[in-house]
Amino acid sequence: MKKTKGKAVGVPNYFKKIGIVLIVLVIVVMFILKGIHYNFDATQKENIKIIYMTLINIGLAFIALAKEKIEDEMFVFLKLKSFYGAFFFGIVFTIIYPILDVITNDDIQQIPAQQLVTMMLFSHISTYFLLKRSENK
Amino acid sequence: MKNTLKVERAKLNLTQQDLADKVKVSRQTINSIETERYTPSTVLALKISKVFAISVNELFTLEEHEK
Repeated sequence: MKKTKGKAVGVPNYFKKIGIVLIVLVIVVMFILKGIHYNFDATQKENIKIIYMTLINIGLAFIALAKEKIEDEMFVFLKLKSFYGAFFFGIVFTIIYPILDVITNDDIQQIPAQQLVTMMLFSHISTYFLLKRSENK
Repeated sequence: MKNTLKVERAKLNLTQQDLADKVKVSRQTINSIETERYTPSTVLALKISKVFAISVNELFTLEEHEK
C-alpha cells in the first residue's frame, strides 16, 4: 500500500534525557549564581535571564520533540492532540494576558515571545504526559 | 467501534506484547484498541486482522449510533 502519511517529525528518544539534564543544570546554575551574591548590573541581569530562558526552551523543545521508543500511530495521534491543545492555550493566553493587565490596572504589556514559547511547550508536554498516562490505564 | 481483539488473541494464546511485536506497535496501543479507547488506522486494522486470519469486518464492528 502506498504511504500517504509522512514520517513523524522528531528527535531520537535519548533527547528527552538530554532535555531534562539541561533544564536541571540551568536551575542548579541559577541557584549557584544567586547564592554567590555577585553584583550584576541591570544589562547583565537581563542577558542572563535571556540565556536561562533560551536554554530552558531548548530543553523543553528536546523533551517535546523526542520520539517514543516505539513511536506508533497512537503516540503520533496523542502528540497531535497535545500540540493542538498547546496551540489553543497559546491563543487564549495571548488574549487573556492584556485583559488581566487592564483588570489589575497595570500598563498593558506585550507577552515576551520566550515566555509564550515556554508556556506552550510546557502545556504540550504536560498534556501529552496526561494523555499517555490515561491510555496506559 | 467494538472489536473482538481480546477473544481472537485468547484463541491464538497471544499476549498483548506478542501481538504488538507482530504488527510493530507498542503494547499500550494494543491495550488501547482492545479497551476501545483508540480506533486504529485502516492499515493497522488490516495488519491485525491478517494476524488472526479473519476479515477486518469480523474483527471490528460499528456500534449502533455509528451506523
